[in-house]
Amino acid sequence: MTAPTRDIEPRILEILMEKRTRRTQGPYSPRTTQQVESALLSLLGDEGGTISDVRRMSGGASKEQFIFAYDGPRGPERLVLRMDPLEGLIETCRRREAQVLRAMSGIVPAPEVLYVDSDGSHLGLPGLVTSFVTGVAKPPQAAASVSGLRTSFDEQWRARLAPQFMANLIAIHGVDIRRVDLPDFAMPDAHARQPALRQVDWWSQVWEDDLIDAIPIMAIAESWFRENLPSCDDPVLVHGDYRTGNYLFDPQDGQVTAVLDWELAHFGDFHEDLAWNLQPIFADSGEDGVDYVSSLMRREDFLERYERQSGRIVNQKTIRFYDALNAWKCIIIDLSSCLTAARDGNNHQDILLSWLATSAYINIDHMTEVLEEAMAV
Amino acid sequence: MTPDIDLRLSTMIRALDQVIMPALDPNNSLAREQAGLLAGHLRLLAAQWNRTENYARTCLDDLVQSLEGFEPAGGPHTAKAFDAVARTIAARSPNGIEQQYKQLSAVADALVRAVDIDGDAALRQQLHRALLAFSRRQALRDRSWFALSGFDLKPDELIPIEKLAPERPL
Repeated sequence: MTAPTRDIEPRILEILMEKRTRRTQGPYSPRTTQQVESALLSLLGDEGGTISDVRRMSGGASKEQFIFAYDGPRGPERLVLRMDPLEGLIETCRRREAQVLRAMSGIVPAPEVLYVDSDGSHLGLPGLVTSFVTGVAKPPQAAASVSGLRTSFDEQWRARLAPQFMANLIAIHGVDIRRVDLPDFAMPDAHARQPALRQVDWWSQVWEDDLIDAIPIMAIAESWFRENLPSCDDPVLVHGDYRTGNYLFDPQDGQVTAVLDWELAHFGDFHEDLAWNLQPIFADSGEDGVDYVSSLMRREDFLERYERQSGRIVNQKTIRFYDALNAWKCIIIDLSSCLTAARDGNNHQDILLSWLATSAYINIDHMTEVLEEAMAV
Repeated sequence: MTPDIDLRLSTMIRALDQVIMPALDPNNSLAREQAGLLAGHLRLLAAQWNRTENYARTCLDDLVQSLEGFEPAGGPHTAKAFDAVARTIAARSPNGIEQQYKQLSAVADALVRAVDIDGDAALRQQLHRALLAFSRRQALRDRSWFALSGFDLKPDELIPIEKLAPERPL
């Protein structure tokens, strides 16, 4: 395997290199609750607290998640352990995740980070422990597929959640990235196209490392991305996976209680988070037959609200670039990383990963359509 | 051959739906989710298993047609990649169609990358157009092939699976 010469954030590159080693250590056996309790005692043991009622949580397609009771220095509480399997559908850094969660304190609702085992010396593999936040990812009795996809909201729920969804996104993008304490995040300030280039380089590395079956449209897309990198003079904190399914809300009053899944956060172009929401795979059709981005807003409404409330100008060419790029990223996740992990038996949810892969063709269809339009201009 | 694969798959699905899933601990949400996914995979397999070769042939035929008619124009990388495509197409045989389709996809991918290096600009544009058009047709087919997974927002657009993989004479 050749040494990468791509422009990838140093910490992300380290993680991708570690994955190459880690994937050879499988197959992976999902941890028993007894094993998890022992690992937690190692991580938290110095405090003399007690751990009980360890239970596996559903969801978490990329990480293993457990909820447990902890009676420690702060008194009895319920906590969440979020830890790496040998391979997941995305390879990310628990230390970065902990940093960004801490940076978000007081900005948007998010779990509180309490303990981090960034090298897995206690847990066996990297992980972090956070507060447990109450809430649901979908309304009671509403339909939804795995990983929060195709979550169905009625008009009332859309009216409750859409304004909060927008406000939280704008708050994330409003973080002062020159002052925030994110030591493992690298500023893309070498040139104006670096935010976009880093995304292309990161994900083309993943595609190369995890390739199962080559697909010619992926090469065409990468070629087009490299020739059409948009400029970004004002990088922001990009969440990276901001969509319905990745936040919790109170099922009674609809108040958002936590924004979750920060592991893909990075400094980049705000268009990236907007275009992530434009992916058909994250949309749902309302009872009126209209497609709602992230099951919440019509496309035009979503972009107009963002412009109006953030004061930023949405560039349609840049949106198109990130629309195609995000579809490409989803394809890479679904058809390479998901399937290598499932093939090698290196994940606790192999069956979910192989199921998610069947959705990739929706992304290919969408990406091809966007590229055709772009190339026709 | 008796009992056949369809019958065995349907009994597995019934066992999961009617016996195993109701017996799972309601608090074990991971096990419940995985049992549901298992039933979903089995339903997909039941719809696909005896059509896979015909479906792969439909995909392969379209990719072959999409790559026909191009002449190598450019440097050595382009020439070598064209040669690989030509050899892969020439090596087609009646068996192992899915693997042949994957091999042709791989050499077509390599061709795109080679033409990027030293291919003629007009050739590059034509190749991209042909493969974009193929990708649209193939994505619709693949969305249809996996329609039962329920992710698709536009199920009305999809093609019935029996039309995707028509029976062909032996």
